[in-house]
Amino acid sequence: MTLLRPRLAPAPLLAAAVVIVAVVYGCFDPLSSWFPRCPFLSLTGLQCPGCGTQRALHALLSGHPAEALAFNPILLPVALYLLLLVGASFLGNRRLSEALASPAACYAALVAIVAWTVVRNLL
Amino acid sequence: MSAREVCEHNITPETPVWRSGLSDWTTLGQLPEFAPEFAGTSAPEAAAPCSFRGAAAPEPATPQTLPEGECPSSRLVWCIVVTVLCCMPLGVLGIIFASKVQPAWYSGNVAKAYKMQQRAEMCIILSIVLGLLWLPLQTLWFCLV
Repeated sequence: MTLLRPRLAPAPLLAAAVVIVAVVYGCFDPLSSWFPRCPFLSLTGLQCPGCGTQRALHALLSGHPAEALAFNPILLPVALYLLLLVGASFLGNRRLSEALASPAACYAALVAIVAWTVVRNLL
Repeated sequence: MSAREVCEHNITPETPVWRSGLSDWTTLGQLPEFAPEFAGTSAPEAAAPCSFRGAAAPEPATPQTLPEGECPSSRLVWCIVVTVLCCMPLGVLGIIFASKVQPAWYSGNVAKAYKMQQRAEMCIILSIVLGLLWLPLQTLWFCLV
């Protein structure tokens, strides 16, 4: 038995969520006090692989893609991976879908995330 | 459920069953994960004397046929999304579980594949819940410190 249904949320709900997120992050700077801060950074003082995602989203929605990339460069491969996956499931390409969830892909993601965490905290 | 428990509940290969991933009800004997349990027992005779091939029959290492149906999703996407949205330790744990779904499935171990998928899902759900719990905690933290 699986806990998550393949379709986690109906499409209109998902679209509404995307619009709300886009409006919130487009209109407000995440550096203002009421935005959530990274729990990992607050507790350990170390940056997690996702730190900078909110600022990057704000920069992207304000039309500064280069700035967005500087806040968290790992978002670029993640976005490409998500696009590839959405494309594969949209086209019904089962082989590509499975390749994107294969052990090799998992290990690649694991290595990339751990390496990025180490690098960003050493730099 | 082990083969012994199956015996005690008087469950036979003819018992109608359903689980997630199946489009319709089927009989237990048709499920690939129970195939080794019922190997060597013809359907009617399996009902009365519990003549399974031993209660703790080990899973065959390399079955001739792959399990029917689609390999369960490894939920890697959600693990990555959760990791990038700041719940690193659990997201990384989820990725480790996700990496074990397909190998289990393609070695014929359907039950393990679903178990690993479920563990990855637990990590994802826990990450989201902890992330949401963090919001009020953070407010408290910054008020106190």
